[in-house]
Amino acid sequence: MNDLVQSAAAQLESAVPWEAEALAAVGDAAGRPLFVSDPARAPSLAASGAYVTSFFGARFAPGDAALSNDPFVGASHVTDFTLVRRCERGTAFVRMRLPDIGGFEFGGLAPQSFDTWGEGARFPALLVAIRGEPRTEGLDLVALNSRTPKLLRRGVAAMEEAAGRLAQAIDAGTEQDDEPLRAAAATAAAALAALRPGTYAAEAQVDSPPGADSPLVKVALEIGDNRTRLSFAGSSPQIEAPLNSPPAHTLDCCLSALAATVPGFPLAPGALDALDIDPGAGTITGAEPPAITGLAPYHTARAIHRALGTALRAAGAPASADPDWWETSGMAAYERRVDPATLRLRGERAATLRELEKEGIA
Amino acid sequence: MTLLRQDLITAEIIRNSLETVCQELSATVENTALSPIFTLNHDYSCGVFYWGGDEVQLLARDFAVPVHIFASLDSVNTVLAAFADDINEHDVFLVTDPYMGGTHCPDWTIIKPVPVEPDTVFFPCVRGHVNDVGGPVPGNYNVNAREVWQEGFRIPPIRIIERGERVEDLWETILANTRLPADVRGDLLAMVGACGVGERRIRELASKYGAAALKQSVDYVVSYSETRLRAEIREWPDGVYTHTELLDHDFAGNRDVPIRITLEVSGDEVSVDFAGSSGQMSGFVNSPRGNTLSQVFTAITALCPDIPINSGFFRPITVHLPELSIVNPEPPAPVGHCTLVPGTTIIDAVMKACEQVAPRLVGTAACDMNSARAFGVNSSTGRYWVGSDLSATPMSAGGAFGTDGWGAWAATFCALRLPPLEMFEVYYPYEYLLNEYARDTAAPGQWRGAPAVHYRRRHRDHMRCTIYNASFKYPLAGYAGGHRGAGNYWVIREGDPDELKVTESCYAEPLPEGSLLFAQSGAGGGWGDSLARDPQAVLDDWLDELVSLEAARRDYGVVIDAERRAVDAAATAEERSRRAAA
Repeated sequence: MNDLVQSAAAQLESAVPWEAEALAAVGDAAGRPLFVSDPARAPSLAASGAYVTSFFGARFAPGDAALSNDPFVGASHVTDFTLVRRCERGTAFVRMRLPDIGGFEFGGLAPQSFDTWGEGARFPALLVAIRGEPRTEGLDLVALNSRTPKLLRRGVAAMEEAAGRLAQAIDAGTEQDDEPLRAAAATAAAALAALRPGTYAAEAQVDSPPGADSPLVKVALEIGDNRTRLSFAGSSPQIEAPLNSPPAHTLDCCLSALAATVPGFPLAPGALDALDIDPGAGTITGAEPPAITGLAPYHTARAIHRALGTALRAAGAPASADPDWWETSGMAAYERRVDPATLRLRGERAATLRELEKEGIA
Repeated sequence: MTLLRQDLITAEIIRNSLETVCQELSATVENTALSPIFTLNHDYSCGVFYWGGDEVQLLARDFAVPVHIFASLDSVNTVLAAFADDINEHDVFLVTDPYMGGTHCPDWTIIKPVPVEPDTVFFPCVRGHVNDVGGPVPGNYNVNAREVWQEGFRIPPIRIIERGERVEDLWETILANTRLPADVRGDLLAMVGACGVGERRIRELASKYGAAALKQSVDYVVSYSETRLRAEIREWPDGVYTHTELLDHDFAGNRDVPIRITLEVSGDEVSVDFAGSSGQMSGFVNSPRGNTLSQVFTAITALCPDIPINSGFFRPITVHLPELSIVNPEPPAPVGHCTLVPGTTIIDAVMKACEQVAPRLVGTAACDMNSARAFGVNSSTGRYWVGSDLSATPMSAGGAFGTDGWGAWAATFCALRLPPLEMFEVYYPYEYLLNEYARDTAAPGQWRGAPAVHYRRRHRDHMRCTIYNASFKYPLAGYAGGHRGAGNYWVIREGDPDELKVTESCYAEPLPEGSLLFAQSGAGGGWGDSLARDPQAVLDDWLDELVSLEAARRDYGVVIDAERRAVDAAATAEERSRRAAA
């Protein structure tokens, strides 16, 4: 299955002429991803899956496919679309970044926004296929709210195709069960057990855009005999700047930071089940609607990694553990996407996408 | 179309019944909606449309804002085009997109098809202004918009109720795209519920009179209005009449934006051509087709107030809209302010052209053009709010032949209401200090316009405010020699060191707790030569403190003896003679 999702993600990425940050996953019938092409995003994908499957409940039938881009139910940002497709023996997931979904600015990075609606339209769970048949009404609604409706339709078509292939593969096999999740949690618990019991606190300042407040990410790490707890409840309150990390995105950051810092901690779906994490409702790390989220995957993610890395090293994680994981991975994506002077989508990137839309790519 | 006497009576009963249906729809919305913009401002309209196998027709409306209900014709057409072969009993549709029969993003149209026979379908319909539909700016009036996506969530025709069941994921999506989901959910349910009431009443009518009689009657009702308007137009002198009105600005730096009308009366038909009007603009003053047509129809219906308004009324009127123009833009041009700007300028331009045709019928049918939206969190309740306070925009009426401008909305927003300010003080952290006619602001004329209103409020919380003002440079027009109305402007943070006078716009300006907001809201123009105004009427205005002694003399040539509280007839005659000779 791991090979399958890697291949699906690669195919999805190559199916569209923009950097899509494509993701593919195979999940169980409850909508939990079990095998994810980029496990660092498994927690947020799980949040999207959980929302979609619980929203539709028993009505979510094989062949149904729903789009979700709501930052507060799994997406990191409004241009981050997940397609969840129910199949007979599990759930197929694909996720990609679509070029635009309205709002103030092309590409959804709108630092002048008051709230999430300034960054673009929200679709918590919208059916785009019913029993395998396209539901044009749903896709028309999404496309009308994009400056690049042709690219959006192209992207969604690629997602449906990829999800369809995954669904076929899932249904050709046996019922997916949650064994991979349990295994990852057990491995993670063992890795955490090697840390020194105690309570550790750390903080990191979010590198803010000029003129914005510089909020703090604060983490309290409690390693007990039976359970590890992480709390971000002391972090700064969410602010009117695009730095707010929704809870699911914070969990993504936690997973990647733990995996990069704690020896043996698996970068895998289910690993976070080994500990309790409180993102801190209403804070910069547990943002609630209508917070603006556009730059959280960069600025705030970096601070979460720094704070958590510091706390973990204080608890005995090796000092040599990769403290620059975020510097090398996250910031590279940031630099490709964001114009540091304006904090909007890079002009050349926007121009290319507009040109592609104008040409009406086939 | 002629009918037997008993059929004529049936047709008239059915016409009145359909208008009563609209009243009932309206009452249902008013009594069940949640937002003050519905329950207090009545910023919604109800109508019954009809498809008899040919074109969709407006049959009846009541308590309706013309720009809502006339443009809804396009909305019904859009739904039919999208779902023609896929409409079930008890479906309900929603469409909001400005380029799909809408006007601006917050105007939502709910349509419920009620098939009586396969080729006889009625459509109870409610169009209402929803208080917030997402997008970058709370309340959706984005003075910085350069594209329609910057104005709110766009909704193409969608089926929100299928066979009587709510389509949950569409509702979820709709409500995820408003800052006020609880209120909007209530308003949407009210609109849907009203259409359900409409369905019941239409079925009762069909059951009572039979489908054939119903069809015959509505055909007659529509043709009756057409016949009446054609008869009226025949009284008008054939000819070509032109007029150009100017918008102050387009909120994007362009000023003196023309709306040019060429109106041709020929026999029993009128054509209105917008050639020569501005191209589509950068700012949010573009008027989609449905909005422009509605404004034209509004002006002409105001000329003929005793003809029943339905699609028959529109048939003798042909409108030519240049493509890519301010009156017929293409996506993604922003349109957010279109119902007011250029809507009211369009009405004024048509009216001014008609002034040359039928001067005694014309007058201000357009609306004042100063508006603002504020938003914040109410510290008393903890609730986020977006204020749709219309109290600073109320008195749009101008003078007309035989009557002064009155203290109410003009034709274009005739169904809107002024809320009790006390209720708004409950809803929003406002404290009203002033809301009254201002002396020497009524547009002079033989019949003067309504005076401007001066409005002041204090803020009980910190909030932010966006103002989108027009009609400062070019106030509403006067007619037959009457003067233009007073201009509009605002003063924010009045009396504070950072006080700011706003004649065009401001964006999300902070209004601290305790700060003051002042507005002057000018009204419509005067009608006729002000020197011909009855001196007694000028005296009455002085006694009512609407005109000063100086203005009585300056604007009307009337000399008032303040001590005797009477007109000095001799001095007035002398003053008017002198002015006439000058």
